[in-house]
Amino acid sequence: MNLQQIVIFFNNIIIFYTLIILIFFCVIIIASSIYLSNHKKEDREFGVIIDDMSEKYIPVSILVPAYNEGEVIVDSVLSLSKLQYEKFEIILINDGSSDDTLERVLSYFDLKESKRLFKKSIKTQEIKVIYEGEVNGHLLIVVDKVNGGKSDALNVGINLSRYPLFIAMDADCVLKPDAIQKLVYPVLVDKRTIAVGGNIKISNNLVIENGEIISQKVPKGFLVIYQIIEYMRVFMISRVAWNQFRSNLIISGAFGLFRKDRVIEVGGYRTDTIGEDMELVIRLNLDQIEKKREYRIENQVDAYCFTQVPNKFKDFKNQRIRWHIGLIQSINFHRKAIFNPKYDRVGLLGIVYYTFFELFSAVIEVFGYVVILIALFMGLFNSTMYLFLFISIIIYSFNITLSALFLERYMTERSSNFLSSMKIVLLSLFEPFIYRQLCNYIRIYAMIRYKYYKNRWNKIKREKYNAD
Amino acid sequence: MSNIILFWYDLPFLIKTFVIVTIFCLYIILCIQIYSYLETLKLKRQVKKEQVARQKYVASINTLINAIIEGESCNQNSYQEMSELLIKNKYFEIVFIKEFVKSIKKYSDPTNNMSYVTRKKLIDYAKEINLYKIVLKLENTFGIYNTLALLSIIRDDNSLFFIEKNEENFRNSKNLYLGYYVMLGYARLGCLDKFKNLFDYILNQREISSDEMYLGLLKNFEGSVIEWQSESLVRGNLNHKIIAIQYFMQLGSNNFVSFSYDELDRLTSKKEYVDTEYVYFVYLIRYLEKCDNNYKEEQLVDKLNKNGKYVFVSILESLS
Repeated sequence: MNLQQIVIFFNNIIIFYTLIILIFFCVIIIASSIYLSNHKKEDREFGVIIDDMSEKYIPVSILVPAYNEGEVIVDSVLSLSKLQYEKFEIILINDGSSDDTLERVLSYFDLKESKRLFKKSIKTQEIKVIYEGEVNGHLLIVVDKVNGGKSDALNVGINLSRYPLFIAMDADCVLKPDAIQKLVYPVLVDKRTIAVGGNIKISNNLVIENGEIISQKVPKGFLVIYQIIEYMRVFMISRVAWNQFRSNLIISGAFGLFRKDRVIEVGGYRTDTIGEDMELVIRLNLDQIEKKREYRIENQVDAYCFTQVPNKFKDFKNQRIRWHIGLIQSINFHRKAIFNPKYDRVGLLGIVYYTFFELFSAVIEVFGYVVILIALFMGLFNSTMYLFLFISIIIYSFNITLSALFLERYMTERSSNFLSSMKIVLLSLFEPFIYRQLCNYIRIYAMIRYKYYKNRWNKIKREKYNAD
Repeated sequence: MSNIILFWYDLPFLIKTFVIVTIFCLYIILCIQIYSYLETLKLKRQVKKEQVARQKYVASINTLINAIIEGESCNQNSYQEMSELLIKNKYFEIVFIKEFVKSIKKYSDPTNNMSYVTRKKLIDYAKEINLYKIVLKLENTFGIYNTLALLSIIRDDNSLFFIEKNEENFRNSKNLYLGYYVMLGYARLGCLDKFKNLFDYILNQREISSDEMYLGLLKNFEGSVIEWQSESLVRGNLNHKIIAIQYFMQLGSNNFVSFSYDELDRLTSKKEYVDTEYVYFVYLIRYLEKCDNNYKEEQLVDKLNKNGKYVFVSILESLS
């Protein structure tokens, strides 16, 4: 085989790979639309219009691990305490913060030292002291512990929680008032459900007062807008489609609900990974399959959680490095499942997708660019082919964003600002060439520097909610 | 045109496949976008129609409801108009049902005799006009949970068949949300046997459920459940006992004080425990704190310490 044939061969591989991705995009849009259409019908029935018997819901423990969250922690706890849910407890775990996170909480809320008994179902780092109090009629427990990372903090919260379900969320998140109801609903409706993920929306430029969302402006800055596009596509289309495929491998660490008994069974969160959210969900999937149990892991599209995203490149890079390292670790820990029919759809579909279309996608794409360059130098550049590819990618990118917007409008029955929507849709035309390449660069960088970054959290700087 | 056809003919097979598949996929995506857009418009129109109907009729509906409550004879014309609209106008029906059951719910305090009398007048009127049939007709609009909730509020025995049908659906699907609304239907219709049956069925499964749910249902039962709960407390399994002791604690009934002390002795003399027994212990203590004026924690702590039951001492300390 000479070099010319090799280049032509790889050209065809690129077309084939791109075709697979485009077909997959189409399939997930179809799958998500079917799911959302059925869900919409249920949604109009749910949230009972007449009866307000809120006792029908199961009490939950909300676990909030906090490390250096002084700027936002009080607002966050106040916001949680006002949620429209009958019974829940808030467990705030101060993971050895070096700022005044603990002091702010202790000074704002009326808390006393507690002798709360709990079962150490999962091994954790040392707990220094536990405080207890009440905020807006709900129990608030504040745990001060030695720094051990987010996973360890969550495991402490699981040990301390007294309810059968727990929600793991980030300290900077603000929930929509009915978010917990929406998140618990799949568990009530189908007893096989062991975990439910929420819909993460971006909270930059959110105006919040006394823990309540007053208004939201369209943020400025390309980086944030592209992240809005990305989150919308992921949570309205991609994650929802995985519900249909029964192969959900990720529930966002910012807002997810779990059955406590199932998480304890698998040993809680792993502390030797920085992608603890995805790793736990994969482990839950594999464990249930090994034990031949019927189970469901869902993403609930209307359980809204607002979170801050980085608006500076350095923070964005750190976050995306962490995500990619987490992905590498999660796939590596469970590599036995790749193409393994023993693990059913998870092994043959979910984990394969995340390996080849998420983990290695940056490498494959960059390889593709190299092949194109070689083809160009060798005079083998097929302009027709690449023109079609180029146009298809732009049209697909545009359509996916447009579909996500339409589906969001359909689900929320709320019109968004026309100019904002136009801005988002037009910018999505350039997404494959600007934002995607930026993400590819960061992913490859993360892979190269894996050993350096594998244990680094690299926190992003938090801003107060009403910052412009 | 012929150039395009020639151009197409000359393209490699892979590119032709690529183009055809891409166009097909884009066509599907476009259909989905159009469908979701049209559905959004349709839903908005429905909401708007309901709002218009509400603005137009809510005043006259409330006048009718007040007349029923006051026991006045309604204006014959408005009664006629309402009856016709109930048959013909779907949005009027929705508004009527919502307003009507809202007023029934306002008079839901079982301890207040005036509330009971007023509620009975409204329920009798609902039976007279066969409101349950209109609710069932709108099942697709309201959805199954709302329909069950509405029927339970209207309290018409004729709707029992619908609740029974959904009990069967629940037993097949194990959808706890549905099971809850079926139980609520039985509770508000006062069907004790069916209610007990389903209550025990769900309670015994008890994988993921909430005590408040059961207590709320007991509170909503149209009739007395005291005898049944007394039986459950004395002879039931642990799950029954936990619910029953909380029920009597909420009632503030001190009939089971000595029984509770006996249960404490029995519990604390065991050698091994399951988690649920610790939960039961906590509720026994809470019951005694509320209903026994002579309860002294120190005496109980001394007794437990003497018997070496330190885990219960720790539980007591954490409670206080």
